[in-house]
This record gives sequence, C-alpha cells and structure tokens, in this order.
Amino acid sequence: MNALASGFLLNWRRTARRSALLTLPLTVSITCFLLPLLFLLVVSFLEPSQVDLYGKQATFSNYGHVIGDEFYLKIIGRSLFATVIVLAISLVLAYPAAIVVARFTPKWRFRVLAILLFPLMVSNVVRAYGWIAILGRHGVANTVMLKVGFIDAPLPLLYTFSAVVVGLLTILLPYMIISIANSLAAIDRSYGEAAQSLGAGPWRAFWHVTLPLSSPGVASGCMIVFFLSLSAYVTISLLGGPRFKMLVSLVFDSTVAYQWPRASALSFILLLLGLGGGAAILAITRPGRVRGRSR
Amino acid sequence: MTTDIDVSLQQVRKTYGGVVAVDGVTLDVPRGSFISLLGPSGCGKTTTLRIVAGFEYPDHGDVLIRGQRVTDIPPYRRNCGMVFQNFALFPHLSIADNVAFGLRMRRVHRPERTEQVREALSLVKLSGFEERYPNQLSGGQQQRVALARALVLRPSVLLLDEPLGSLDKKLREEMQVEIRDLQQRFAISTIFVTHDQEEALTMSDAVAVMNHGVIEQFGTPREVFERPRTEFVARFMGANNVLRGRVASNESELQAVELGTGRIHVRAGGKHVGDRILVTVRPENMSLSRGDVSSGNVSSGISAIVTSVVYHGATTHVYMAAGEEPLVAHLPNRASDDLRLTEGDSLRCSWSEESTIMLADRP
Amino acid sequence: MKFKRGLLYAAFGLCLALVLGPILVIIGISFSPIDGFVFPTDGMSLRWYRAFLESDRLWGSFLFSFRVAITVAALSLILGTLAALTLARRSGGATSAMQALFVAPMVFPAIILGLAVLLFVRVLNAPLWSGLIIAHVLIGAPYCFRMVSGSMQAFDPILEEASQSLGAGPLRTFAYVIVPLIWPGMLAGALFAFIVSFGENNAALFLTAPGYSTMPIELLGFLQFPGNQLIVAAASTVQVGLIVLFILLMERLVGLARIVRSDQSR
Repeated sequence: MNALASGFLLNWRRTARRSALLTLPLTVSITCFLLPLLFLLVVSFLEPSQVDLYGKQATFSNYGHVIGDEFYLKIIGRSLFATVIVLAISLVLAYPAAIVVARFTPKWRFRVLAILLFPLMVSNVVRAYGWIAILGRHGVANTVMLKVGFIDAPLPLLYTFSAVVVGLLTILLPYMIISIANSLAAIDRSYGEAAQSLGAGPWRAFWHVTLPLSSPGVASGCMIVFFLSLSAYVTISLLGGPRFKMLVSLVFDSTVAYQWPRASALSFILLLLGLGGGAAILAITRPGRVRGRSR
Repeated sequence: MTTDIDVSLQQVRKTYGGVVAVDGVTLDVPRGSFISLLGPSGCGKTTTLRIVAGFEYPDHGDVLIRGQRVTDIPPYRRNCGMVFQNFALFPHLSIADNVAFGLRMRRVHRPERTEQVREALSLVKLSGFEERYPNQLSGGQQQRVALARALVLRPSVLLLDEPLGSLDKKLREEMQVEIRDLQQRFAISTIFVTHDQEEALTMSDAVAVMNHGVIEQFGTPREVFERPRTEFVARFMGANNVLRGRVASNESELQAVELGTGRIHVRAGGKHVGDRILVTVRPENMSLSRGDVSSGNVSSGISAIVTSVVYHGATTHVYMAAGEEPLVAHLPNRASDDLRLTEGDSLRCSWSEESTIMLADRP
Repeated sequence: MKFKRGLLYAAFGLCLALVLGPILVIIGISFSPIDGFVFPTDGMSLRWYRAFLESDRLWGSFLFSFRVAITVAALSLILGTLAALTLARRSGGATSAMQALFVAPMVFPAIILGLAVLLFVRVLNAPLWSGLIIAHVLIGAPYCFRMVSGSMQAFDPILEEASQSLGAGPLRTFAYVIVPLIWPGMLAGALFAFIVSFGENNAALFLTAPGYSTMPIELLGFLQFPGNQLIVAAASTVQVGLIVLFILLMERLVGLARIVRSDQSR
C-alpha cells in the first residue's frame, strides 16, 4: 500500500476542503472587481467612438490628450495641491486629537472613536449639505454674523477652495484620527518611560520614540486621506460649485457625456496619482521599521 | 490476536515542511492500560496523540484502533475520547449540553441522553452543575466536565493532552488520583501526554519517553526510572550524573572502569578492555567523603571539587566538577552538615555498585 | 505643560466640531418651522418630516435604498463569512494576498469602482440595479469579513477539534459550534454592510436611474436645485437616526472596540 502518497493526499484533501469555501468570494472578487478594472484599463486605450461607447482601435490618445492639454494639467495640479493641503491640515489636527483620544481609558476611547466613526456612515451628500447650510449665502454663518453686526452683507463663503478643503476635512479627519489613535494606544507605555529613564525629555521621547512607533497608523491614515480626497466627487462638486473642477470631476463629466475611453484614462491617471502619493507616504513615514513580521 | 490491543501505531512518521515531528513510532496500547507519552516540548508526543485522534494524518505508517485500520478515517468517526490541554469546553453550552454534545451527534434520544449525562456528571462529582456554564466553573471542575464529556461516549480509547498543565500543583495531584480512578473503573485504554516525569511515573502502567520524534524507551515507570537505557532518558528522569570512561580491566564478573578522575567497578557483560562505556548515577545515591581517591581506603570512586552547595529543604544539593564533568549529589542535611562543605573543597564521590546504571553509548 | 495640553484639547475640539458640526446643524434645521436657515430656530415643527414622507421621490428612494441595503447585507454576509471562515486562522503570502483583495474595495475610490462596474453591466447588458448591488456588495463584504474574522479569532480553534472528537463532522461542527460562537460578528457585519450601502453615494452616482435611485443620490438631485431644501435636512436626519440605531445595536452585539477596529484598513 502506498502509505506515503495516501498520507500526503489526506492532509492535502483536508486543507482543500476548507479552502473550497473560498471559491465563491474569490470568484466574486475576481469577476466583479478585478475583471471590470482590467476592462476599464483596456477601454482607456481604445479610441472614442461616435456611435458606440468605445471604438475598436487601440490608441494612447486618451492619455495623450490629458497630458498634452494645459487645461487638464492645471486641474490635475489643483487636485494635487488641494489633496496635499487637506493631508497637511488633517495631519496637524488629527495627530494631537489622536493623542488626546489615546490617553482616554479604553472604555472612553472606544466611545469617542465610535462617535468619530459614526459620521463616516452618513452620506457625503448629507455632510456636504451641512456645510451648505452653514456657509451658504443665507446660511447659519452669514445669518449669525449679520445679526451680530460683524458684517454688513453676506460673505461668499460657499463655492470656494476653502469650502472644499473644509468639506474634505469633515469626511477625512475621522479616518486619520482613528488610525493614529489606534496605533498610539497600542504603544506600550514602557517605551516612553524607558526613553525618559535614558535621559530623553518629554519632547525628545516623543520625537524619537512615540512618533516612529505610531508611523503605521500615520501611514495608513495618510494613504486613506490622500486616496479619498482625490476621489471625493460629491463633496468637491457640492462645495466647490459647478465651476470648480478637480480631476475626479473630469471623470464624472466624461462619464455622463459618454466619453468612456476618456473617463477610463482619467480614472487611471487618478489611480496612478493615488498610488504615487501612497508610495511617497510610505517612503516618508517608513512604517515597515515598526510593523515587523506580525500582522 | 489484536483484539486486546486497543490502539496500535505502526511505523508512524509525520513531517511538517521537511521537519520530522514523529519518526517511525510503533506503540501498542493493551486494553485497559494507562500509557504515558513523556518528553520535552517539541518531542512529538502531542503530534503522536493527534495522529491517534485523527487530527493529523501520518505521512507514513498506520494507526489501528481495536484492530481496525483508521489511518484515513476522520476524527469524528473514530470514537476516541479526547481531553484537551485547556479543556476546550464549549463556552456557549451549559455543562449538561457540553456533556450531551457527543450523544447528540450520535443521535441518542433525549430521555436516554439526559440519563447518561446525569450519570456521567455524578461520576465526576459534579451533580447539580448541569445548568451552569463553563466560565462559572473552576479549573478543576472544568477538567472534570471535559472528562465526563469524553467518557460518556464510552470511547475505544481516552486521549489526554497535558490535561493537568493549567492546574496548580495541589489540584494537579488530586486530579491525578481522580483520573487514574476513573480510568481503572472504566478499564478504558488511555494515552496520556505529559512533560512532567513525576506525573507520568505515578499514573501510568507504562511510559514511552520520547525525544526528537522517537520513542527512546518504553517500559514500566520503574524500568524507565531505575534503568534508563539512554543518556536522554537518564537525564530526563533526573539522573544527571553522566560519566564517560573506558573498561580498564576484567576482574571476574566485575570490570574496572577508568572515569577520568577515578575508577569504579561495574557489571558490564560483553565489554572488553578498552571499550568505551557510559554510566549514570542518581544524585541521591552518591555519597561524599573528604579527601581524594588515592587517600581513601575504598577502591571505587572519583575525585571532585565542590563548585556550590545549595540548601533544598529536605536535602542539600552539592554541585561538583570531576575534571570537566559536572556532578551533583543530593545529601541528607545531616550528612552535609557533618562534612561542612565549602566551595573549592576536594571530595571523593562514591556509590554502591548496584547504583551504577549502564547507558547505551551513542557514538 | 498646561499650555501644551490646552493645544492638544483645542485640536481635538476643532476636529470634533469639523466632523460633527455639519450633522448637528442639519439635525437642528430639520425641525425648522419655516423655509430657510434660521439658527437658532423660533419654535419647532415636523413639517419637513411630513413633506419627506409625502414626497414620492424621496420616500420612494428611501424604500429603494432600504431594499438595496438589505440585499447587499445578505450577500455581503455570505461572502464575508465564507472568506473569514477560511482566512481568519491562516497566514502566509497567499492568505495576505487574498485578504488584501477582499478588503481593497473598502478604500478603493468608489467613483472609479462605480465606473468600472457600470462598464461591466453595460457590456453584459445587465440591468443597472444589479451593478449597484455588485458595487455595494464589494464595498460592504469587507466589513462582514472583518467582523466575522474578529469573531473567529476570538475563540480557540481547539473547540472545533473538540467537536470533531465528539463525533461532529465539519457541517455539524459549523452549525453547532462555530455559528453559535460567531453569530454576533456575523450580525454586526451585516448591519455594517447595510448602513454602508445605505449611505454610499460615490459608486452609486453612475449606477442609479430614475425609479432605481438611492436616497443619497436623490438628495444630491434636490441640492442641485434651489428651494425646498429643508426636506433634505429631514431625510438626512432620518438617515442619521437609522445609523445611530444600528451602531447601538452593533455595540450590543460585539462591543465598541471591535466596531472601531473593523474600519481600519489594517
């Protein structure tokens, strides 16, 4: 009897039986996520067509148009600028906030984090509408300032760059705070104490110990913020107004105009920018030095 | 002929990614016997047990339960009762439901099931705990539930995977007696995995000492304790004085052996002058006296220098160096007080000829 | 030291204001008795809630969103649980790769996901609403995956072996041991998928059509035209109320700690 082979087969069959459960989710992920994305990539290299959604001829022109056009380049530049500004402000605000949250007792920490998490479930539309209600011409801010006599005529607060930045901060700050607070809370208190016992003052202990140890949280927070602020179409269009365009607005506009090859190319440019940003964030924060091999 | 052997392992071998966990283990468990697999962690004892239970399939070799080849039968069709290290009681089920679980899986009807559960719980002295939940029980009580849950199925063999490891010392000793009682009452064949030599010796009919996936010695507790066959078994049983030497001369039935710093006499049939020899002496069998070998009037013994003396309550442990070899002797406190030992003292260690245990010398 | 702590708390307060402010303002003005943003309002009224219930467009989209979200929750639960059952206890390159694949849509730009799925359903000539379900399941299933994985990791795998040693095969072990231990995670994951689908508005942009429009998209439509905007506040408040209710339910099921961690992209 071939006992060796049968033992191997039995062990393999046992693992395989459980792995069979993966078939369905894996099939869905591949056919409904990876395949459509791949198809989108293909379409981005196809010629536009007047009669069909996309032509049959392969071409680089969809990308070429965007890269060669000053109008597009300006909008891409503006998107990156806004994203970097949002990233910087959210980091500056979220890190101290996360320190506060991480210092709470676990019970309160989870309560506060849940309060920050709950707005993420609320539609971006709703939250952008909140800012419209505050910043609009007849919004809360103008009404109050007029009443107090602070101003004589309503200020144009809405449909500005600042309004977009504020709206993006609203939807993105929770990601940053939760991410950093979780990684700060996971740091063993004894590290900081060890640093202080070795002669580092509180500030240097923070700079040399706490900050590097929190880098995984900072990195993942920054990457989410970067990616989502590039692609938060609803917030950008509601608070920036119809004339304020960012890269993602172009994706939307070309899609509804049935210029699908163009829309696909713009999507991949956006994804590429996001990946580039992510790589830059990883290179700067270097979370790998802390994360180690564990999950 | 195989009917009175409940479990039989035949040349079982198991590797994990090239690392050999169990290497050609052959073992028979006669009906009603209590057998321990004893060894340090990583010696393959737990893997061996899991192969019997069916949680691991061997790469090679066969497992027989009551004469039937079960090598490729999944655990849930093997009828092995298993008690796990941390009991593995189902936290979502009451004590009664935990014990009834296996009966339910065997589709035993409710009235009969209730009766059997009641009986099993009274057997482990837990009547009245039916409606409680595992987290409301102490460690010892959980242990008893785990036993009842396994025994209620009348398994062909009871498998215990370090079941006492998580209990404190006093409870552990109580449970040792209790498990042994239950095992004998049911006359159920049992394989018990432990790394605690005392536990194995007090509970078992036979002990298999394992190392690196191999059974180094299989025998009664007395045999493995008093007559260890290999250096590993000797050391694992606490006989830490292992000495190497050569046969110097044959004198009638005794041979004189040169041991570095002295010479002893052993009964080593079949050895010739010049043969290498490995012996061990239990620390409690050593006696010490002042002076070195040449000054003494006894012809057998070795010289050593005291390196430290540690008080251990009932005994005093004297650590010594005989040349390069470390030695230890456990002396009654009276004897050590009389000697008034301090570090650096020269001593003569001697022991009776019956206390010398010959070990198989592996090159 | 005092000053430093003051700065920390100021940043924390500012963050809370930025994150919660807009939502609180909307809840406030939704009770306004008049058509306009006057804050604080003079008196309260439920007229905008009545208007919401009477608006065929909004109430209809609310019901449609609800149906979509329930479907999405059920499908996400199945997919997420199946994936978690296998992957929660494994490690290694293939496992991490598959985990990354399942979780990726959670942080993937939803508008691009929507576009890709739109192309996909157009090419297959499938109805648009099926694309909406697909996109939302892709976004919702990771939450179920995370929640169930958490439940799987919370119990000792030895229990599965104990069950097998007592004679239960894989199916019965699943039914009698695993499910009773992980159902809170399963339910919490399904609730999570539900509210995520219910509030999602970026992937849905391209995957909705008149009659098949979710509430956030319908609200977006209302906002692009002047007037009658407080009805949006009322509808939004209903959505917020629903989310709070669900989060409280989830807290009961698995505790806040697990909810907060599940939204982490690791």
